[in-house]
Amino acid sequence: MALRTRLHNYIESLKEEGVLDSQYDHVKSLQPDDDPCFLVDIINNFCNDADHSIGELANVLSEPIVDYAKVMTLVCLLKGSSSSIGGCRMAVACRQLHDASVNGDLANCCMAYDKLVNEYYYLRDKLKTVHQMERTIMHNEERKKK
Amino acid sequence: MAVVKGNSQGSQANGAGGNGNGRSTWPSRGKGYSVPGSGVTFPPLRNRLKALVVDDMSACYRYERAILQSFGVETDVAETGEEAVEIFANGAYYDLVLIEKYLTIYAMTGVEATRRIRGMGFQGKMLAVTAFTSQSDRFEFFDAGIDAYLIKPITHEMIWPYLLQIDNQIA
Repeated sequence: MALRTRLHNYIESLKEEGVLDSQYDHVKSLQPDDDPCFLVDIINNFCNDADHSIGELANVLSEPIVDYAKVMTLVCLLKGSSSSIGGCRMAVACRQLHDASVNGDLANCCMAYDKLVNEYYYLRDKLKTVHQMERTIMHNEERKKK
Repeated sequence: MAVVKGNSQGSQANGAGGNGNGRSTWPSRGKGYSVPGSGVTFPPLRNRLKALVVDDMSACYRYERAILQSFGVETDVAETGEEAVEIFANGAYYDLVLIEKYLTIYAMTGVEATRRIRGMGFQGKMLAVTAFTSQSDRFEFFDAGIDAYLIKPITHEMIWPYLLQIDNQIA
């Protein structure tokens, strides 16, 4: 129970910081009774997808001639993913990169990309902590059942 | 234009009475869904609907699938446009398709997949679900055959009117 309280307080602090919003609670509320790994799996899925897309963005932005259509595609996917999990600050950073890519402004794209990466790494670290706490709670509950 | 008649494996495997269109005619087994913390309750659907989510990002499709499943909608996933087109080419039937516009940077876009699926005669509801929108994006997607354009993240409130419309259209 103490760990649940700590997890709850941790998530509330992330919301106060603006890193997560109420969408996170909405995702958590969708967890089916027969799938206790749902939330931790979605967090994992998000991080894996974002790692891949961030890497692709770096490749696309470092090309001699930048394909802004590809930049827009990747940032759209990242925004969709981050906003679906409640990562609102990262979603805002995606919007800034999207706007720079619509204007074909490479300098602003690179600045916006750096900001996006920073927001993502920050969110990822926080979600890893959430992930560990959720897994510990799951593990403790499994042990109680036995 | 030929109408795709699905051969929904799920409903046939369970021995349900089909209606010849590959769609189960069971009443929905859902109890409805109450959105936590909002006081909003959605009544159960009368029919067991089937949906396909087409999205490259696993966090997105897992989330959208969970929303649909909370309404009692049987939901499959395709991670690429090619996979979605193949599913329809193999005769599958769905009442609803949620499709991301961009999918991947290397292969078929959601717009092209929508065009091809409509070209095969699919007349069910197709909803675009994506993170950004512009007038030209919307025009392109509507021209391909989607029925509505939703911005991520979708919510129960956003998807309910479409499910209700589909549910009410089934006798």
